[in-house]
Amino acid sequence: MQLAIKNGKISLPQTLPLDNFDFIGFVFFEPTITFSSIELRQENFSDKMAIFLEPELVKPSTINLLYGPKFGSTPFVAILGILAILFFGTLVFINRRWAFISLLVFWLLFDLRYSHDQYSVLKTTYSDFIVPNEPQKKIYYDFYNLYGFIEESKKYIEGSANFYAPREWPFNLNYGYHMYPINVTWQTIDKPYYAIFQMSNVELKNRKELFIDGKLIDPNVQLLYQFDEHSYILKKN
Amino acid sequence: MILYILANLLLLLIGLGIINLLDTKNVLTLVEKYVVGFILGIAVNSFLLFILGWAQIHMSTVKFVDIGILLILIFFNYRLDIWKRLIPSTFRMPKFTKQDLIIIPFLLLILFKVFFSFFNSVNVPSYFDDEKWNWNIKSKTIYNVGIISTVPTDEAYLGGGGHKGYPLNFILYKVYVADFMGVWDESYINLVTFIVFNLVILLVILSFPDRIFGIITGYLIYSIPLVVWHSGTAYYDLIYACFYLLSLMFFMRYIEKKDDIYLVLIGILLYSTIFTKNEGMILITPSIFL
Repeated sequence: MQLAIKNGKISLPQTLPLDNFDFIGFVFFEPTITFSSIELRQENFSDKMAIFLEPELVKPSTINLLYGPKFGSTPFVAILGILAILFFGTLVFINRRWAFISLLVFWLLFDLRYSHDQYSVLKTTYSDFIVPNEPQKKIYYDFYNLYGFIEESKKYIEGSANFYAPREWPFNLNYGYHMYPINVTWQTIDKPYYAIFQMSNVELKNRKELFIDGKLIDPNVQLLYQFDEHSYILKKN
Repeated sequence: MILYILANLLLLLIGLGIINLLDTKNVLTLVEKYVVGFILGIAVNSFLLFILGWAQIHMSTVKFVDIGILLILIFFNYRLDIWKRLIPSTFRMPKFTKQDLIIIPFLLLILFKVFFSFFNSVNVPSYFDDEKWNWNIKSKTIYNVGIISTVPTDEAYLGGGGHKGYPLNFILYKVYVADFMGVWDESYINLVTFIVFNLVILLVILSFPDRIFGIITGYLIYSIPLVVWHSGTAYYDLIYACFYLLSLMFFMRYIEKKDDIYLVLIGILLYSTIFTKNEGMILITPSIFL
């Protein structure tokens, strides 16, 4: 299920039949989210259209998996498939040329909807990742501003670094790859540098004692660069 | 940018020189020569790199070997007076009729997808897991170390990464480009998938005698779900499938024209298929038995 946040509202684009629910749970990786209200209602036609037009943006699975749009809870590809079989099955006995043209038209309809996703990806990538000049504001989907953090890290880190982020995947793999040949290890303490990305529970007491989750990680570090509110590059003294 | 173009031009000229020598009866079209020439250039260069790397000779040596090979090919092409075949002698603008209006929406959609693929390839650093950890990390490791590790227990064996046994065709091509440019720049490095795929699609479109049918076929290939993503990232599944598609196309040509050059091209493409991804073996095994 994909969540879209628009104008402060979160909508569930691919809604399941509400009759089948006993509980609804939400999982967020962002540190703080407050719901001011939750509305549950049966979807009407305009809801179905909104769900249908909701673009599928970039996810780690995008390269291998196309979820595809849904009209209500029915996959669009299923609607097109049934229509294509009906049209082709009827027309093939009347005019073969038109039977194949009907297949092409249904393919085209599917692709136009798919192209709408691609256009949305182009637009979002351009406005959120290409246009901003500051590395902190270069947001790339679920990586948030990791690419900007990597660019800045390369300026300060030499040799090897301990890396901390909210989750190992996908941050550690990506940071490690893009920083190569700098050796990056996940949540270790033995390397000369600390790269801390989007950790809200980091404290630097007396400007030299590094605490994460209230636990002392290193008693003597030096802040080289603060990328944003929750991301730092530190060096061991 | 200039170094990137020069690096690719060197490979293209090597491939073209070899194809031109092999095509003794000059039966191949100019587009066929250029497209297969580029694919062959990559394959020859990667094979040389593989031998050099295996012999623990530094990878940067390959460009000098390439230049030597190119000089030999230029000599033979000039001596046999066949180099003129590589330059278009006449160019005719295609005549458009009212019937061609039907292809405009397909052409626009193809162009949009080409742009989408190019945009992602140039502007977005490697994002998906496989392209980083199974493919590009191997190139990066070999580029930084300078040689190929031949010890199977070594972490960097054949470049390391998630799948150590993956074939090295495009991995070594990227090592060569990074070495030629002197820097690992992802906006150029990942562009090869886009270039090869679009060259293949161009060849497929032009191979149809009917222009409308060719463009609709090109559109159908481009509109297959996920193709726009695969054609702009460091994934090679699409590329080895393209090589296989071309080999089938040339097999049809061979049946039609009975010239051995098509069998040579099929050999080059099938070699490139298996040297690009190990699943290529599944595709080429029936071909070998045939």
